[in-house]
Amino acid sequence: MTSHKSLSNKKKGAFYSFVSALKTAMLPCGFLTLLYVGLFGIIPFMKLYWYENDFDYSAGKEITRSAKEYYKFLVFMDGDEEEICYLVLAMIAVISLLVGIAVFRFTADKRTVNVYYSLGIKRSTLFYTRYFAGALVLCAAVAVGIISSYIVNLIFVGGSWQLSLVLFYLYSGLSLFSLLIYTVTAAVFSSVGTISEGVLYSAGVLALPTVVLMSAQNLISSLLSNTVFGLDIIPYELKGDYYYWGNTRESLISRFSAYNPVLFFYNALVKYGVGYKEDGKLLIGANSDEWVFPSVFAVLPWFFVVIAAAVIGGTVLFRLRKAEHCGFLNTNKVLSTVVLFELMFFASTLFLSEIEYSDKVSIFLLSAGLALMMYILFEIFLERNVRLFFKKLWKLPAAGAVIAAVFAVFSTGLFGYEMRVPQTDEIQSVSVSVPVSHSVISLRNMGMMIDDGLFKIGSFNWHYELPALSGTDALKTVTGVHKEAAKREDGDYVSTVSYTLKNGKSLKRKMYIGNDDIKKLFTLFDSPECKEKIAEIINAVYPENPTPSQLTKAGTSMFRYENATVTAISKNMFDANRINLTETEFNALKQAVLADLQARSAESYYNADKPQTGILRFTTDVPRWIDESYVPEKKDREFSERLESVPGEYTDFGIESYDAYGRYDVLIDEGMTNTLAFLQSIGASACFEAQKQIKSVSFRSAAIFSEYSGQWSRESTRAASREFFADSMGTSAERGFWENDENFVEDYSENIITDSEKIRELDALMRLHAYNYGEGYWCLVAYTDGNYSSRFLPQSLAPEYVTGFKYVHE
Amino acid sequence: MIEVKNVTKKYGSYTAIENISFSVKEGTVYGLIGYNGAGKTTFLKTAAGVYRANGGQVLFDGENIYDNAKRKAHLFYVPDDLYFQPYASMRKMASFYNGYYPLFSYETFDRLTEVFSLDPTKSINGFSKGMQRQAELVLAMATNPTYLFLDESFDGLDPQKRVMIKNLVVDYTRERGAHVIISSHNLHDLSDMCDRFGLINGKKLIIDHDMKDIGKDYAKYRLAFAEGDDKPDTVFDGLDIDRIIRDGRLITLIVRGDSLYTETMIKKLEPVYMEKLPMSMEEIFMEEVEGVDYDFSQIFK
Repeated sequence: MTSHKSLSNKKKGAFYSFVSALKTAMLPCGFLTLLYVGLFGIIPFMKLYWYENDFDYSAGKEITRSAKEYYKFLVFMDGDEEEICYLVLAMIAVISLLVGIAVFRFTADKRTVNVYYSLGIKRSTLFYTRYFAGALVLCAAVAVGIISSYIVNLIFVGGSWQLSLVLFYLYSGLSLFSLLIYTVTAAVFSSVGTISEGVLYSAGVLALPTVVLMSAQNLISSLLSNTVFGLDIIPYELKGDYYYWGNTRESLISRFSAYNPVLFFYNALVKYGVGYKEDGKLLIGANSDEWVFPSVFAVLPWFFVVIAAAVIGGTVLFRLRKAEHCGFLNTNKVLSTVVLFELMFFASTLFLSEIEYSDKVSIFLLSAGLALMMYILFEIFLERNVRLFFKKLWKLPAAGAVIAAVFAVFSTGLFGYEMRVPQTDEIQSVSVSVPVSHSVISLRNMGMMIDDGLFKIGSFNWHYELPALSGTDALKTVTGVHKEAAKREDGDYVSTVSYTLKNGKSLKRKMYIGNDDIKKLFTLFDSPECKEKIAEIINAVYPENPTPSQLTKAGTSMFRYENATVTAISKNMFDANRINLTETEFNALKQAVLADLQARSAESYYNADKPQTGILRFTTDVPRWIDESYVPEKKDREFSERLESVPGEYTDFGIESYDAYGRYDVLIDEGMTNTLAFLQSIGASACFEAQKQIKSVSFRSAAIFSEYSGQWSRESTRAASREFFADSMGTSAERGFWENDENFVEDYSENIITDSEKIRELDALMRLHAYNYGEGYWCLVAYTDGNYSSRFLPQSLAPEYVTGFKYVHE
Repeated sequence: MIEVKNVTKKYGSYTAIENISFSVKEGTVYGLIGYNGAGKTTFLKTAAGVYRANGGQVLFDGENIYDNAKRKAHLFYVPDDLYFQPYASMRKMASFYNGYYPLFSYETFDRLTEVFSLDPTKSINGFSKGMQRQAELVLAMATNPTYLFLDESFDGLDPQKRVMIKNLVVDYTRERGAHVIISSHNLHDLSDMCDRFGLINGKKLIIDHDMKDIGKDYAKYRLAFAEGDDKPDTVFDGLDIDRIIRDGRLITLIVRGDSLYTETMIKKLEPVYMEKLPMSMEEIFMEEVEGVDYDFSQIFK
């Protein structure tokens, strides 16, 4: 009888402990529920609803589409929203941490510990009842979101086993992620004395792999000149697309995300956010990969980690914890040491990577000094006892020795491995990223231009990644540049090179290069692979009613007749004519342009050795302005005149100006004989004629900005894009840029040409586009009607009356 | 019965209490005295299973109390530093303790709140310090504890409530056969209600006595010798003298050891007046605790 009663008593205490912890966890979990419902309920609902009720601006009416025909499921993401996944994981982590704090903060308060530890409940029971209560609420919060998504999917796209499987998988992963954060927090709180330490050490333990990898990456990027880890560049893949689909940067964190407690589910979250139906196949994720079954191995190991952390927390740390530690700092020496060294490592390597340095030894000493200073401050704060602090100083030389050893290993380039350049006969293919300024990125490198056509002071982290090249000449060019680069520890530009070796291995390295190297790398644009790529883009088949994934793959392809407009823009960037073409003529023009682009050498293009006639622009005929006012398109293909004058706004280069699918601008020079001949054959030879009269041309040296490439711009363009510039626009946008940009230090007011003969000569010499290689002249062209535009005059073409001006850099 | 066997508790390298041993019988109150920082609270927390002893053990009816859910379900520990849930009323705290204590009685709770004129629906945070003490004791008694530990629980109580609570605890202990350990600075309180007391000094329990045997080890004698018979202190060398206080001809002796032997020896010195006085708990405390006779005139020179 007695034993029966005490059994029920035990259950009573455990039950009450469970229930009270449930209530405690409810509040922070309420926020988590809201997050999940918003994420998995409202977002897919809105996306699916909008998909079915979009507005077709070209048709001027609502679109009625069926999500069922397009989506297999839409759990959360649809498109390129991978960054949101980081945000989502961060928010879940914070809330799970809060739940852990709410449920276990009683362990860090003397008064609550007095009560809880004197109650008739075993410590392990107390831990596990509270732990499971918090875990249950967290799992329920995740389930609410998943169920919301399930309901929304049932309404719009219908049920399927793939939907159920994906939801179950995401539920498992996100629950585990939540539980992992929560469990580690619970375990940490079970072994420290104060709430502040509990929070700091929980975050420290969870962030440990991330911080170590980030720090290692900082070390690598600072001390290893030729590795790609930590390289802050965005290589852009060549695609016939208005948007540049960039590869993610090289990062140790992303490479080892599967082993990282805070990122292990990131890839799965990205991958299984959406499923598209396409040609009878199921494609998944933002990149429309082919369907594969979710990997159990991405989550299962973490299930065991959670179990292990819970067991360690409940049966070891919590049961054996000393209640007298409550309220006292630094009672857990292991955790405080781990977090201290984590902070030291991170801060010193961050410092190392962020500052400009002249020699490695002095920077090492500074970084080590910073780390040791952090150590001293941290220990003083924790001990608050000078005697004890001095007793611990023996750790300093040990920490210094570790830092020195790490530095020594990295300074040798991992004993030379990072400087390896393979022999050409070892290489299957190579891909190289060519650093270019904003104004010459992507297709512009091959004479096809997109983007806004502005001068920009590029930060040089924009790269153009070439297709894999396998020709002997290309391999020699790349390895030649790489061999020289491997000897450098710094340089004007950064480039990456990826070798696929014949033995199946791959090698990726960073190169510091200069203008001479860039000249060599530009010749790679003449490779058969690059020329083939141009043909691929121009001849791309554009699907009818393309799905976003098809759009991603096919590119937006403006080189199609339907809904396309071809506009010829004059050198002054103001005067423009729409060229009305039949479909046959359109296709013929495409082929003429293709033949010319394939024939034009990179050297010719970058050196701008031929006079430039203007820009041939291919767009979809769906201009939509920033303010959403609708500009009716010209629907019919009936035309009365070959050339139709286009209002200035249509030729505006501001990227915000159009919400069209895309736009390609092809720079036309006098070497493009096929194109020019075609235009002449259809009576459109006057399409590039300029109406505006040049009043004057002012000059500045381009030598001070080697990163500038010669490119056109015009007043209205800059006004539309003023957010890109920190400078005042002045009364005239173009003049304002010239006069107020702090980088232009010279007084150019004396460097002006007003003589009409010279202006006529200059008009033929000034280029819309050229790569300046650190020389040449910027030209501010003023028109008689008060407008301005910019052009570039290559050094080799500059007349004496231009070179004779005084330039500050001289 | 509560049996405390050689309990030692250390904080890191610092020993707070060492080899404490005593027992508390059913239906008795044990008073624990000692100067501030002597280790009373440490002992109570160790005995309540909040702290884990570094040595020795505390047995409740033969079972080690540490992490013993079965026994602790009948233990209520009232700490010096009280805990109430944020914004909790007595009713809410009653619900909390009802969740853990199998014998919790709302009937007892209601009666006691009425006796102490406490409003169980009001937030305890708004109570005065004394009312909070009363509230905690009401909650403690409502759990019908077999083992009750009170740490300085009379602090802040007015005399009337103090008496009420003392009576409540003593009556409850007697009627229910409970085991009570109470620590207090107010030795008068303890002497009124304890059946036995212990004195912790220098980390150790140096006295463990029944209250009725309080004069067994100590005796206080007041005596005087005939006029002109100025006997020096050395005449008492055969006795275990703790202290000699002279006030004119009047001599007060505090003596340890067997009182019969002491009296015989004193009588041999032929005092003209001799009286044996009872030792109060406070006097014993003062005798045992070192450093109470500071000559403060030396400090404020």
